[in-house]
Amino acid sequence: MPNAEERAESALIARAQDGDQDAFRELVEGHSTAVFRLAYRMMGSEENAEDVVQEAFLKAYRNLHRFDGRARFGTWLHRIAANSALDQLRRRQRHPEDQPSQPKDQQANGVDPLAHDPLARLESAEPGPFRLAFSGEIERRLERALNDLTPLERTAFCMRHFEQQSIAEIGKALGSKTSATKQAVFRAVRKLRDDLAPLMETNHAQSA
Amino acid sequence: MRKVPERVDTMLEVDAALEEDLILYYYGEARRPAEIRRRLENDSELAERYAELCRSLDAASSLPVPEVDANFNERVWSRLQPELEREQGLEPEKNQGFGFFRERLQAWLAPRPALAMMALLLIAAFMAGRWSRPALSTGLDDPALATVSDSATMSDEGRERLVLVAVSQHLERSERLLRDLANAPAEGGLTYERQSADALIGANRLYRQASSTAGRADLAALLDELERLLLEIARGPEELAPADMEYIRDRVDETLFKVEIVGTRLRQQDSPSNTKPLTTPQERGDSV
Repeated sequence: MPNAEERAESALIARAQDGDQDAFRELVEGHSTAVFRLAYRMMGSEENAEDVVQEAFLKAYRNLHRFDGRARFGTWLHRIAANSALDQLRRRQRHPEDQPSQPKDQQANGVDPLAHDPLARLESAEPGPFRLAFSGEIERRLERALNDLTPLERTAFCMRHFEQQSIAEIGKALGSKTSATKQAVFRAVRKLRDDLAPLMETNHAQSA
Repeated sequence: MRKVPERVDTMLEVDAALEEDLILYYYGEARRPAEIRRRLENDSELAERYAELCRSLDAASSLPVPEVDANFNERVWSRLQPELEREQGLEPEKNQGFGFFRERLQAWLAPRPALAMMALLLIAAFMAGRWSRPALSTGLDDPALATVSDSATMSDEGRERLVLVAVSQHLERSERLLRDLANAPAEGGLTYERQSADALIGANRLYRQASSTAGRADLAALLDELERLLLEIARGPEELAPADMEYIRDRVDETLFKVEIVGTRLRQQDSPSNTKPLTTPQERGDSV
């Protein structure tokens, strides 16, 4: 039985399907932040992530008539965003010269690195200089490792890891076989681990 | 110096299937989770390996994402709205430039197929006259084309602009369709895409023939590739199996890339500030 929020969203979708732009705007506002988060993780830069958000909503608008409510609207939208990001990653791979500058310094963007300190989840030590240095190093390695993934690996990994979608769902969304999707996730995890393992090992030993 | 942990070497030798099972177990997708849990409880080395995997993946979860600023929604909507209005055919009032004229011309020609055909022939005649090399002018003496061309009162510049409008617009529409296909969710039919592809085939054929006749082998080759793809989409099944969809997407991806390049080039030439000829003799030998 759908709750009130879901019923309200269904009504908005129906109005948007009838061409009501105000209704579509409400849908955009309700989902834009979550779509941006997915897009940022896949693209690694705010500028590219905003382009993906833009493209995803435009594509959603064009295909609203095909949305039949079998999946949740957010899930449907995230699949479109993932495909848009995959498309852009492939384009970027073909035109590396068009790639924007490396991800901006997170602190300069108002992101407190301590608030998301990966190590904070691992051990409960005070953030001393050693931990801070490690936290920054992990972030750098993660960004580098994600950038080294192929577009399909990155997309599949982000959908599995951050969006908690099953491998079968990811394969369906990307039009890829389940076995190929699974292998893409495995390769992505191995590459990330290879980059992070020595660092994590050192930290683990320090913490022990 | 700290010794490289032996576990790193060991990790490289781990049975791939076992490692994959651990990854699936982490994500809650293992086929036999109870069995893996039992092994983890009884095998300390495996447990440590799994703990290491968890540490790496947990660290990945903590990768920061910048918070969107207060104007984010406003910015998204202000970029989106003009596109939506274009989709609905409601051209924003402020756009009274050449794009506005182009949309109006298209809207006016749409219900008048004879006039639209005439315009295409004019374009073909113009392309023939403008682009052909003397040695390659076979087929360009078609009286119909000549008549249309001769009777045209439009200036060269005006006709050139018409060519730019028509071809770049066609590529833009094709690009939009291909992009839609590249991003289409795997589930659901392709009714809309098939109809759109079908609607583009006729015009594409005319542009291809005109380009070929005019000696623009590069443009003709692109339009030929596009036409074959459009035919495949239009005549293809309503629902595609995932493997077929993947195959189509690969082809779309390839063609889309070329359409983007040529479309951008033509749109740049479409710019009112750019009055240089459509092609130069040097460019005629360029390949797409």
